[in-house]
Amino acid sequence: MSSSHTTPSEVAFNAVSVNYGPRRALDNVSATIAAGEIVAIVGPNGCGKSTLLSLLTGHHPAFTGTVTVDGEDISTMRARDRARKIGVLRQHTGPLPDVTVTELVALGPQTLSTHQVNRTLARVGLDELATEPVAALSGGQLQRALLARALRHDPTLLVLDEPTNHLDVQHRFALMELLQDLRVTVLCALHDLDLAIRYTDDMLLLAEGQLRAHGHPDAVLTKSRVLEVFAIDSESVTTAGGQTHLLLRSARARAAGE
Amino acid sequence: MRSRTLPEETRIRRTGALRAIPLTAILIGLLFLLLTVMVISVGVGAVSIAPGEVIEVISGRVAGKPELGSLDFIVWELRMPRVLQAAVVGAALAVAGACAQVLVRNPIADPYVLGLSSGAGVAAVLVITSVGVATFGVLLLPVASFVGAAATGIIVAATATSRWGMSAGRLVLSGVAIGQLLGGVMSFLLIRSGNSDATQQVMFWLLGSLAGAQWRLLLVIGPVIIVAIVLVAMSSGRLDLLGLGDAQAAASGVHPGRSRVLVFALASLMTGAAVAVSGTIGFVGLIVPHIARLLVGGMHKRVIPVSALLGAILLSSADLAARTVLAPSELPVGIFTAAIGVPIFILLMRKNRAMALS
Repeated sequence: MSSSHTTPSEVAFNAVSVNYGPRRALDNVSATIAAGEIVAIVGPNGCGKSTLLSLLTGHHPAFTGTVTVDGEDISTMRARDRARKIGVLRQHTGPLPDVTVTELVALGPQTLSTHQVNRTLARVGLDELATEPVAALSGGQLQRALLARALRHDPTLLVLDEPTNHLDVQHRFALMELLQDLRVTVLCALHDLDLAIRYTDDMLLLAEGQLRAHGHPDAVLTKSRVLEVFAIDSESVTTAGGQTHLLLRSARARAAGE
Repeated sequence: MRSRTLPEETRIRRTGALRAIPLTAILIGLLFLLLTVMVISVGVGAVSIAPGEVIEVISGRVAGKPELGSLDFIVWELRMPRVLQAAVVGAALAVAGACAQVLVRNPIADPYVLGLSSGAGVAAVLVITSVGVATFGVLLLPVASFVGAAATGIIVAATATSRWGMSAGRLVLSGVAIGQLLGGVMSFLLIRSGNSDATQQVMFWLLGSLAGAQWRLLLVIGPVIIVAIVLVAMSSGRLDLLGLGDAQAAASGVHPGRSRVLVFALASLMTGAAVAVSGTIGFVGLIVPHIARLLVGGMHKRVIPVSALLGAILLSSADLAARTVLAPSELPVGIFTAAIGVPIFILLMRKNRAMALS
């Protein structure tokens, strides 16, 4: 696993708000992300996770406030420069093109050498499938091919929307460990709170478009906050090895006395 | 991360049947095939002319030393414009179809889902019913059709564009809706005119025909179409990204809304030019891009030039068939674009294993 030679990016959201018609998707969110941190963005469906991440990807709704990367305002950054600096993995929707894995990683206006593509594919463990058509990939393999696309220019910031979707247990852990090895700043929307606790340094908890808490995952995911935001009963357990886990159960299960 | 390899039965090394062959070799092969069809096509008709004589007349003309005579007249003045028009219109429809399929991210799209052909149709009906083709309509019809297509293109583009640019969903719906509306207008105008001669002319136009080909029209639409195809080929990176979705395009530094406007403008120009001189020839724009993808895979730097040549070959062959099958009477060329294209498409589709999986 090679690490990036450039310094990881710093990200700052300053009083960011987004309105979808009458609905407030993001409500005055301010947060600073330190260089090199892996940051989990958690919260229930529709809380604004994807909207917040989209502001860094060039494909986003109108917003007020400012978003800066390494002190530079994202809205005045040249699209090509932004695309090199920020690697993006979002959910794929719609039909897949009739291309191979190598072509999927390489396609776009900037040309990529075969060496760069192969190195990137090796990073996500897809080198053996380089010449397969993307239509033949499983959901998890496709997800890793799209991750390779996000990594192809050695970005200093990675923006990942539910990257562990479609991945089996082994590849979930492998993905999070790969993110640790990359030594870049990672902003990552996650549903799996336990995975977030285990692999991230910093956490943003969103609910109804508002930033409810920001800090170390252990400090953010308190029993009362998890109950309030997710309506789920939780218990933090530390194993003999010193690893913290979050045990979850639904309100109905609790009522049933499980 | 380590990967598990795919089980043997789903292992596919490449998606396009000709992917291992260099693009230049494929293009040279297709160009040779096109020229062969064109030479045969020029030789076929009421007076049959051997390929050698056809080449002689054409090389004499190209060298600037024409041997004037009846042979020269038949080859150069009567048949060449038609054969060349078949080639450029076929190329235009095929490339416009490839663009349309990317623009609306839908494999069943063709240039006509953008609604332009209906606009051209309304203009054509207005000319045919009010002026009549017989008088000065020979030139008026293509000019009016192009203006109708262009005006419709602007209306569709305006409907489909917000301040974020043009969206795929809005584009297909406004194209189809405005196309349907104009189709209704066209029928109304036709029925109100009560002119059965005009109705027949309009039917002929709707089915598409290359019979009206002439040098002065060809010298206008030919360069327009060729420049547009070159510009589309130069935008193949954008087309690849638009095909992958707006989010991916934006993340890769390409503005999806603005790129779509550019591709739409080029596709409209090609469709408008093609429809203006040949009416609405069906099927080329739908099927040729798929045949191209099955042959060389989905990367547009290969799909676009291969589609252009395949479209030219398909329409040239279809026109040859339309003129010869029931000679001396001529059949609508649209019958043969489907009759030749569908078997090839089905054969390639059945052979393609990636398509069986998707």
